[in-house]
Amino acid sequence: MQTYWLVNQRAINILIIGLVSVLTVLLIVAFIEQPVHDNALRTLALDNLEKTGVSNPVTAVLLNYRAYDTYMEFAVFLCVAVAVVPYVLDVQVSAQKPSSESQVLSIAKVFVPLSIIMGGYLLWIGSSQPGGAFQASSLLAGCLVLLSLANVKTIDFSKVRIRLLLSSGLLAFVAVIILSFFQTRGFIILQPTFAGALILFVEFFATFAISVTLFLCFESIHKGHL
Amino acid sequence: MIMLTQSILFSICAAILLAIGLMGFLLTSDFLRKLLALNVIGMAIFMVLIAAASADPNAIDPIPHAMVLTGIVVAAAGTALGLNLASKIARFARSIQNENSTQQNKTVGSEKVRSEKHTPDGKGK
Amino acid sequence: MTGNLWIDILLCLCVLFIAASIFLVKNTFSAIVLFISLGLVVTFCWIRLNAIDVAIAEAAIGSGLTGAMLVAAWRKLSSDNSKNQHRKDKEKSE
Repeated sequence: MQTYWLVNQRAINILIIGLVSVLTVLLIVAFIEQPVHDNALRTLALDNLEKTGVSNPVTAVLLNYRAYDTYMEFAVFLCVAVAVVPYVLDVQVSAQKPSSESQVLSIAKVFVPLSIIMGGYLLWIGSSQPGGAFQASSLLAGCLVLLSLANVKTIDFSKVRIRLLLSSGLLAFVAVIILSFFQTRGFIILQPTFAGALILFVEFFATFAISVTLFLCFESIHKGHL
Repeated sequence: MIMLTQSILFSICAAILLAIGLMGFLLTSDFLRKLLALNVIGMAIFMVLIAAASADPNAIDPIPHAMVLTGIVVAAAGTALGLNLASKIARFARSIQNENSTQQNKTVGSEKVRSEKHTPDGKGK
Repeated sequence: MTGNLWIDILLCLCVLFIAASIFLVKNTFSAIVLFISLGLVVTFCWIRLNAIDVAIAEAAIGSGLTGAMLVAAWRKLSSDNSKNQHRKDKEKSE
């Protein structure tokens, strides 16, 4: 079967290069000519930092000022996990015991405990220094990926408790929203005295949920599609 | 000519990175490179956001940092979905190719059987 | 221009060079390795721009996890191609 091109392929390439160059030049001119703007939003965010319960401004923005966006993001993660789980469940569970101890396993034996401790530290220190839930969850996901590459049977995704773990971030956030509604009569308005504890509560469960979701994304490509 | 601050330098770099990613996406036919190009475009957009956040040298603007943090993780999840799609397409194409090759073998085999049946009749007649 | 700005200019040139060479190499595995290194150089850019949280997340997720997924997918896709090639060669010889 022969495919017929309606136009010349070379002309299309030259057209694409020309148009993208024009777009780039216009973007650069726009970046250079931008007016100096006083950032009222940043001043507001940094001035009210004590009322948020944390002292790291990025964590305050993520989980207090723009908590609704993070809530939506947890829901998006749950959708991605639901979309990717069938690829992992299709694989027949075969006993993969390596004959001798592989080198990846010896690396994992050194790095996994250290990474778990570092992940816990990043989660805790996220309220005052750079860190937080996403960084800690990425470390934990790296641990799981390393163990999966060493042929260690880590997570069986057909169990109910793993599905509960995947949705725990969203559930914790919903619980915080409902409980804070009863206290302040507003949608995601955290009282300054409890805000730090509530943020840590949400971040704790979100770490596990995001790390298992990221590991699931890797596992579906590594073990699936046979 | 222009006052070259750190913010403007990284904004220009981000614009050229966007151009590289966009041209790479449109001019390559390999699927894996298209996914790489999408990720490069994503990194360029994150660079625009953070370069705009660091315009003031005294205070950091935390709101674009939060947006980029969300964006990085969602881009990784999106890449995972795209790679799953690529593997599924490759498996489907491989099964179609297997079907075509077995069908060709069957037609070749039946032609051989038909020609063997004809020759005894032709010789007899 | 101060010394800090020269470091930034060098960093931007590195980023653009690596990004351009992702699409100019012939081997797909080299493109994936260049993408992982692009993620690490971009982590440097975030540190220069005072975005430490973004740098930690980019180094782990944007470069590490995405790179691992890409290599796993490349292994699956390239093994499909090579298996088909072997099957075609077997059929031609038979």
